[in-house]
Amino acid sequence: MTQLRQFTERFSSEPLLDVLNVPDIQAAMTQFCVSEDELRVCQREAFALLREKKIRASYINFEAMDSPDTGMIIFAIRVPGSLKQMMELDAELGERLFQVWPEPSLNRFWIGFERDYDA
Amino acid sequence: MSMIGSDFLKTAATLVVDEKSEANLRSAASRAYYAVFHESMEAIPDDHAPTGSQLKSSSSHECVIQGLLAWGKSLTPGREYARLAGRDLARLKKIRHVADYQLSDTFNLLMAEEAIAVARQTIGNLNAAKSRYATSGTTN
Repeated sequence: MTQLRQFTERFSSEPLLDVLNVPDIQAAMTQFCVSEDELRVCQREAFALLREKKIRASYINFEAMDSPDTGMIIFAIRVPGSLKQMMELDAELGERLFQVWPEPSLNRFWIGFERDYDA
Repeated sequence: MSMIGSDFLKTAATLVVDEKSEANLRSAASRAYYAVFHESMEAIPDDHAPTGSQLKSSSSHECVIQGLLAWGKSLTPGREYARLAGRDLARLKKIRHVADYQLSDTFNLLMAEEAIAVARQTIGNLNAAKSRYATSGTTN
């Protein structure tokens, strides 16, 4: 989990992921069969897109939803702006993710942008 | 069939306009998800569609996303719209989870409106995928 830990520590000064949650994240990834490679590649693409657009993420939410019909891991990057802007940004990310990770495990892992309602 | 999936989207839109109680807003998000879920099942071509037994299982929601992704991965017309729809269905699944199960979390009008907007976009992508598939001479 080196890369995930590095990522988490990198953002630990922000109101983002807590390094103490890494074991929980690791357990969730194992439970939902999500590879660290997929997480890393998708994260890199998402943050590259934000840098290109000069948009600063205001919050990252890493969540494991565990229910009989909707269990999955969510890596949501909250961004300021309107709903339309967020949806356009996320659609662009979607196109890019299919290029860098052609067979995503979308039924178990979703990474994308969410609107920051407080911004 | 007495109704189609997108009818749920009309219900969702009504729920956010009428009484804006949190229960209504959560129900709107949930209906928006099911609108797309059912429209997706109708749209997926037979060769990528989940089987009857898969749809009756607890993993039916996963199977529909998988079906869209399988369509998106195949070299058939409409694939680019199908995979975007699969991604948006996964987003809606997340919103629906919060709406239906996480009752202690905040759920407001903006979130319900987001679910409806994403559902509209996804149904648009599904229609585009179906249209391209149909005009290619392949039957759905």
